[in-house]
Amino acid sequence: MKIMWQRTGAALAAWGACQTAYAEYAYNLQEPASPIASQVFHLHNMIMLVCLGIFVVVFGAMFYSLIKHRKSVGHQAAHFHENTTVEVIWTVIPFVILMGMAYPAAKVVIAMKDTSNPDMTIKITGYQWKWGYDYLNEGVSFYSTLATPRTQIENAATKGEHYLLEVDEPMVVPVGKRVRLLITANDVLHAWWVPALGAKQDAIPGFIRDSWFEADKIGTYRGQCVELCGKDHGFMPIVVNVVSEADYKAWVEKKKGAAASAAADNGKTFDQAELVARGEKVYAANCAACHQANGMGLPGTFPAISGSKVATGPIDAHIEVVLNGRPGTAMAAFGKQLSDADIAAVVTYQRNAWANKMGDAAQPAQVAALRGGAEAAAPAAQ
Amino acid sequence: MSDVAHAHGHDEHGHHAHPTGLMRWLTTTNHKDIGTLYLIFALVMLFAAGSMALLIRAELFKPGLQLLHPDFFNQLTTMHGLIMIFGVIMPAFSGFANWQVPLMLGAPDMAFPRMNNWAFWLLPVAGILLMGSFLLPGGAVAGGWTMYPPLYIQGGISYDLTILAVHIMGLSSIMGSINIITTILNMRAPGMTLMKMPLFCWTWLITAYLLIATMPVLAGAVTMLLTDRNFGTHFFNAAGGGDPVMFQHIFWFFAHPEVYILILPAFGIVSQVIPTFARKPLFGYASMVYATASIAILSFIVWAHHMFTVGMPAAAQLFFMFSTMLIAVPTGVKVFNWVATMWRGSMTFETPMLFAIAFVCLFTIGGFSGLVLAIAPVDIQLHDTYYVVAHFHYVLVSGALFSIFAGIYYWLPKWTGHMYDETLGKWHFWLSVIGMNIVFFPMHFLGLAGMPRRIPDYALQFTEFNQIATVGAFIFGFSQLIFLAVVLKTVKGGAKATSKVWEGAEGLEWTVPSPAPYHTFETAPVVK
Amino acid sequence: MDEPVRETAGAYVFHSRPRCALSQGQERRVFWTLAAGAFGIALGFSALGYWLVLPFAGLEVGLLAWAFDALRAREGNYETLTIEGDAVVLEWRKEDGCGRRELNRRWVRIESDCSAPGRHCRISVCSHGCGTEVGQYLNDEARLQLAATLRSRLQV
Repeated sequence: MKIMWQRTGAALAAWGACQTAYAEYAYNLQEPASPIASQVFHLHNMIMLVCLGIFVVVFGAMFYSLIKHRKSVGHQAAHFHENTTVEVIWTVIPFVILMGMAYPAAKVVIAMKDTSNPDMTIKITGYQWKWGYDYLNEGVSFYSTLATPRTQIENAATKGEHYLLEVDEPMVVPVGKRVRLLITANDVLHAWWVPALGAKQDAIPGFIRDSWFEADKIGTYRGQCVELCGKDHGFMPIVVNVVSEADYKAWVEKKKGAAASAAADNGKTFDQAELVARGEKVYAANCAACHQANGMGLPGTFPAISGSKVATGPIDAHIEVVLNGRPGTAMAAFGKQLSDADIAAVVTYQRNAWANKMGDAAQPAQVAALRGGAEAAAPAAQ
Repeated sequence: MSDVAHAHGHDEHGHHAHPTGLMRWLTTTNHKDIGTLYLIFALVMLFAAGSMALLIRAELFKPGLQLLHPDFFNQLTTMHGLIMIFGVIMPAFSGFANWQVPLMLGAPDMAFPRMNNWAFWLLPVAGILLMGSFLLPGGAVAGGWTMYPPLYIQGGISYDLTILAVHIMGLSSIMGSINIITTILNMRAPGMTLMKMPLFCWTWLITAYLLIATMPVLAGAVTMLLTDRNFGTHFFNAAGGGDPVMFQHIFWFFAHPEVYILILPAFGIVSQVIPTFARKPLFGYASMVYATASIAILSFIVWAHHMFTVGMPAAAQLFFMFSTMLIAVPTGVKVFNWVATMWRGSMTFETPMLFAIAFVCLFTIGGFSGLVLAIAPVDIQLHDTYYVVAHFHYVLVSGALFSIFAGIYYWLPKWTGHMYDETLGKWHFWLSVIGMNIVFFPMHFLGLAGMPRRIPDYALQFTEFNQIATVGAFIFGFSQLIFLAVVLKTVKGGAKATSKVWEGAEGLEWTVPSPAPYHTFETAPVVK
Repeated sequence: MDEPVRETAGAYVFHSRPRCALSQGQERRVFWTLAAGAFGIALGFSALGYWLVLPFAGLEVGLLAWAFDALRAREGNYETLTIEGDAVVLEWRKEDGCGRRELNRRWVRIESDCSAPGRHCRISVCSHGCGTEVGQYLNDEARLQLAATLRSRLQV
């Protein structure tokens, strides 16, 4: 019984907290930053209030009975065991209450599903374990991976303020614009969720599903993948920077400039030391999650690269594995995710790191040639 | 007795020597033996899967990775779920059904005693396959108990073994269900009409119907996973023209009724316990039966509420939202009936009653969070967060598991002939109920704040509630050792139990001596 | 089974049957609702292309059919033992057919086979080295009681 009172007290306190201290959200949904999120927020509060009311009435009656109708205070048992009127009443009343809840809920459902008339459209792709963003109107594309260093995760360094909720390249959107999201996945199921924006949608390989949000405040909003997607499911956060229209324009220009210089890299020839240095970064961002920073993989799950037949065999075969992946395993095809220069760099790094001392180097042109071959072969295979 | 001794003297037909020791348990066809086996199996598995939960909570005590590799963490969450559902709750309820259904109906045994034996002995085989997969290269299944493709397609050999284990457990459930249905319908004593049956029998009858309707769906779903993995089919592979979301539809078409398979027998047990200690007949017996049946029927049209975030059309979301909310009506009727049963009774608070009262309260909290999750827009915010974890642990721990504790304390004196230790029982109750709330209540807040489920590491703002939950988990986990001690102590000895055991007990099981003799009711009792 | 033992005009009659609360019609109805549910769901999924549910529904309904068939086979079973004058008449029907045996009371012995007291005893009526089991539908206590009754009846 003590527990009951504690519980009711806690629930009341929780309710009080969200009413009085509007900034303190530890007991309720995150502070909404979009019209849908705030509708959901209020819908949830309304339902909680109704539940709390029912709880107090029903368990008030039960605890009254537990205290008064006990043998130790000499209460004699009555013998009634049915009463049709009462039973009909307590079937009908909940039904009516539910109808009262269903109407506002249905309105929010319809508002959520209405993805028409967007100001801009962003395609989001889930990968094991990062997010890819394609701005369909602006032609900007990039990947967004966890920025928290391994040392913090392994408790070797002090954890930063946004531990596990920080990325190298956040998604950027202008404030007050209706953003339509086309969400899909490349390998397994993922789910894209930013609580404050009220948008959550499963990312399903082979299917594109849509959702939308309209951020009404400038700020940084953080979320995570919420559908189990394997080992690093907990390490693929989402960060959305909501900025002013002018800042957004500037950001788009900057991204376009960066894309142009990356394209220029594909035409260059690098020396081995440059490739290894660049490859180490690419490896850390794309490969280390499975094959580990020491190249040893995880026995039984992910093969080692250090000393492997692929990394110490012919260089073209090595590039092809990285480009096309290994179908039927967790090894993804990186051809679409990485530039020629990045693939050349990471292959070179893998062939010259740890126990691998091949001493050779792959060049972007070599990757481009193999990429052409793979694309030519693909239609024939179908 | 002298007859027996005399008969032994000139026994020419000694060809039916009855086995002893291990062989006796392997070959037994007695419903009481098999009930005991089910319950022992569930207890062992409870400690196995409970230890996994403690490992999970230990890892989540602090942000950062301390104890477990993320892949092993996923194996633990997956196996904890699979074993708790298929290895603890379901076998425990089967154990109760085996012991109690024949006793309650005045039947001599189950309708198919030999099939009953097979149904049980398949379970340890499946259990060994599941637990053994931890030792295989790549470890146990790590794709979540829901086994969603394409993640499930990526796994190693243990994923195939788990499918085999699911098949074996499914076969066991089907054999058990056929036995229970035929026993309840065909083996009733004269005068024991359906509407006179104890509610526990009703809830199990409906549960068995649900099992028979849905088990082929599960078997088909996991077989299609198996052929997708190994034989090049593309049922769930978009690249081959399949649809990964269809697996979720098929799976939840099975698994939502499964959720009620895990809770209806709990309703039955609580409906036996509360009238006994309120010394007053169950209020609204007929409406309880109808409510149980409506919940079972509704369970077939609500499955997609587990999938509001896959991107269904608005019409589908609305349909599944309304049908799900409707379940609150019969569930509410049940809660009101239990409260009305206590109303103006003459209550005492022995351990079974305490667990039953905690069940009514805490299950209702799980029901309310279920109602919150039924509202599609709110569910979309909370789906796959700790709010959902809190919700289903309130219905499965303080619901199903607490009803199992209530049932064990209630019937253990009948089974063993000894009273359990009331003081230890009360300690077990209070520590469990306090521990359970400390673990799971903060999880609501974690989910609201945005912590996803199934993650081995979390952002700093989730730290405090996770630490509280971990402390609670250890209190709850270790207090189950008291339960083990109580059970062992009661089996060994203790005050002799009378045949009625409880002052307010009603029903045929209380007319046979305690402990219940090996064979009961071969000649039918007459039910007025 | 309501009254396992009757005594009419000096004759001692023991009659017992297995438990059976459902009529044949009710049994059929239960079977068909279960089978229709399982098949209906499986056919629905098959229509969507997920046909592998169907064989499992088939296996399950097969098992159900066997179970209900076994129940029906059991339904008419009975055993009757009559002691009238010097004649001991056993009549029975089991799954594998009917039988009748007439014995001379003076040659009849009652044998019981119990491995441990209280655990699954069998009793049989023996004559000329050949026994017939009785009391199959009783529990151990009732069966031992029956053995005692029969012994005292046969001694006269």
